[in-house]
Amino acid sequence: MTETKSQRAIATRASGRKSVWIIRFLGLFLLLAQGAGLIFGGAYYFKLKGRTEPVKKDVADSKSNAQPISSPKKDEYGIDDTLDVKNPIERLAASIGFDERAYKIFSRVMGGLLGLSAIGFFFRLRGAWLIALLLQGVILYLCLSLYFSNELIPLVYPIMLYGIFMVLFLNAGAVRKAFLPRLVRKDEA
Amino acid sequence: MKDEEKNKSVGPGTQSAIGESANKLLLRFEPVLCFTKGEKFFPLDTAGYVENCSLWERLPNREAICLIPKGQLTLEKLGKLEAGNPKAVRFLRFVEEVNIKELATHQLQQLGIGTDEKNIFRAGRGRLARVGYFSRFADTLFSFLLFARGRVPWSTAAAAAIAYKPIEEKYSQPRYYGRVVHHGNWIVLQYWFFYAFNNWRSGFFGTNDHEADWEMICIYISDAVLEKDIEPEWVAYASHDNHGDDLRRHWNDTEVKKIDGHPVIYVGAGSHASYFRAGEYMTELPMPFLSPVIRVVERVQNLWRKLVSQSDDEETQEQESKLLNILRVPFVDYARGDGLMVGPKQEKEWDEPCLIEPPPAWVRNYRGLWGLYTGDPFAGEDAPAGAMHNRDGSIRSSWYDPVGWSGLEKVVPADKAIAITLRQKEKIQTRIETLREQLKEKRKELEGIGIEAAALRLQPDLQKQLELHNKKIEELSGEVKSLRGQLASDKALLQSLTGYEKKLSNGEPLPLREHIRHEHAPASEAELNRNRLAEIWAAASIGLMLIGFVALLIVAKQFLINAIITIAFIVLLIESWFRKNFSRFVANVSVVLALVSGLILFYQFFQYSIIAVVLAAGVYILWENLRELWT
Repeated sequence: MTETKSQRAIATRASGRKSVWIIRFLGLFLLLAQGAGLIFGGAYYFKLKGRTEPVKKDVADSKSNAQPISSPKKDEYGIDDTLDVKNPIERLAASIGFDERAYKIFSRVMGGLLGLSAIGFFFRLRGAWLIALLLQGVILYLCLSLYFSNELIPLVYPIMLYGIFMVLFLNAGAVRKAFLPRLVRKDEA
Repeated sequence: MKDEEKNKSVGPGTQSAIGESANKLLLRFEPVLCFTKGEKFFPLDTAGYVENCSLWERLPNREAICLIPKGQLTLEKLGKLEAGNPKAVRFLRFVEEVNIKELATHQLQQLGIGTDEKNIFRAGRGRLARVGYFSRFADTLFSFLLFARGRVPWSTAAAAAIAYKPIEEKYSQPRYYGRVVHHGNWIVLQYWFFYAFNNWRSGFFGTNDHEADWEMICIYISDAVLEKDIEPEWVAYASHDNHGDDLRRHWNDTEVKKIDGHPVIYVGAGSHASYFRAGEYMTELPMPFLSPVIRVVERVQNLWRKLVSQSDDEETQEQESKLLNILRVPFVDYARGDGLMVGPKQEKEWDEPCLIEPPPAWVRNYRGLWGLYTGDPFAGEDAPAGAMHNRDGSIRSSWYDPVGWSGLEKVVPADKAIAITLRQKEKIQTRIETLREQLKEKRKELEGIGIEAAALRLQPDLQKQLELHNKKIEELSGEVKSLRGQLASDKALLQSLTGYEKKLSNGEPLPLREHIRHEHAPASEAELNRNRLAEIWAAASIGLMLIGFVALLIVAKQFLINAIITIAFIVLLIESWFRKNFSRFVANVSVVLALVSGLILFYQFFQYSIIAVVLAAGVYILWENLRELWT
């Protein structure tokens, strides 16, 4: 029994629609998972770090017993005065460290945006695809900055890995096809 | 051999017949030149130019020496010059002294003060916004390079315009130099135009300035129609250093505008390149030293497309090829055709044509440059040689092979097409017959050896002979297969030729533009009407970014790299927004970041990465095998 052209076209279109729905759900899940991972994974990491730090502190304290403690002098902005920097901008920049508080802000902002893009992704909005990709760029860039700076924390590696995976996913031919209207039209024609 | 054939085809009888009618032919199809507002130099009589030039000679690493001072040089003297040192460069010099007062007046006029408003050139909107960010950066770099390269000084263009005025007044009628040659199946009408100066850079934001400029167009007429009602078949306009099929258009192509049977040429402002359509043409200057970078970028793009299965997306590939164009320096060639018109029944009419076939002594013997030699390594600022020669003294291909220059050698005139198709059909038919005969013979041979081999297989003691037979069978089978392939392809060719012949016999229209591979089209309306904000951004972005970098260097050394990357990223993001390729830019940046991150992870977790790869391969093989088992 031979399949007619129109039957084949209908079958292709139906399978295409099915794959678009899979992409929508998958995208929603992956983006939400990324957002949640950033917020809760980070919180968990800092909690674990918090538990181990007092031990380190004790060791440090025992070491410091041998020497007189000299706490660094801080100016009116709360900036370490002993830092070898010349102008106020450099001093301000030097005072910004990648600590728990900074991470919290970063993860909440990113998590929120990822959540929004996940919703948009589900409703197949082209802007959501673009925002999701832009966010992957920002996440990867920050991870790379941390990697090349002295602020490296092991948390960046899983974030990086997930970011790479998401870039691959968002750039995959099927996902692009589902989100770039021009290509969809070409396909359906 | 090819050249000999060409020479043979130029029979003395035909050439003399052309000689008699050359003037008439040239007059009949002399072109109409449409210039752009602001153009200062028009086709000029070479005699007037040479009278106002001096002749110089320069040896490598030496100062130039004046051989004949200004006022003493004539075309006749130029033709009688004796050959000099082969290492030396001979050149004319049109502008020598610059009068400051005249120069100041001229510059004021350039700014539109005291000039006829109707003849002022305005670049218009969108010039900068039309080219990419990196291109504008490369453009800035190119401008800086001009300081280091040999170049025509800025004042020369102004001084040339001043010096040109009295000559223009004396030789008020523009002139062209004509050639009519019989080449193969074609009678070629060549119109050469001489301009005193090319002020593309200084006058119209182009790439170069140089003294003297030779431009040319060719009109091709079938040699069989000489005695009948003549109508050209093809026309080719010289545009910069391009050559080949892309320069050529069919006479009946709608792109070839005509006024009373005279072809219309839209002349590039300052550059004097010839175009078929009025408009603003983007001209790109490739930078050879960037070709390895282009190759690397191409490979990475191909790899990425395969990785994410984007290979079927033609649009993406097209966009990516545009991305590679950022590694070229772009310029706009304005051929608006809104200025003076030169030609029959136009504002300015042509003077009597001056024939340069056979070439007069000044064309044939003077191989030097027709203007200042600056010693520019890119040669863009050096004057060109004459109509017949290249800068190195060799003969121009457009001179000795005007048919091959525009890729017309393979094209047959319409009135000869049927005869040549029939001839070709006959040739193919003969070849098919020969192939059939050969195939018959080979098949017979193969059958015989096949039978022998079958017999040998029954004799275990003759295995060695059988092996030899098998080898021969293999060889013969290959030959038969190849002959069959050739036969099938020849049959298909014959069928195509029959169809083509039918079309020709029925007078059906044939495609006129199939030969054009890369059409040089003017900028579209959308490109010309980019919004004001985009234009302001294009004009200010590079400068602002450089200032920003310097400011960062002074105030935030510690965060310099991060800050530079962030600024560059923001600037490029805005740029991509204006250029309507925001999503492509975001996708490309994220891909690059993902690649770098991937490399870092691989480096940091080398062992785990290997384990993961092996594991993935194992799972994949398992999956494939199980799937095969189930289906």
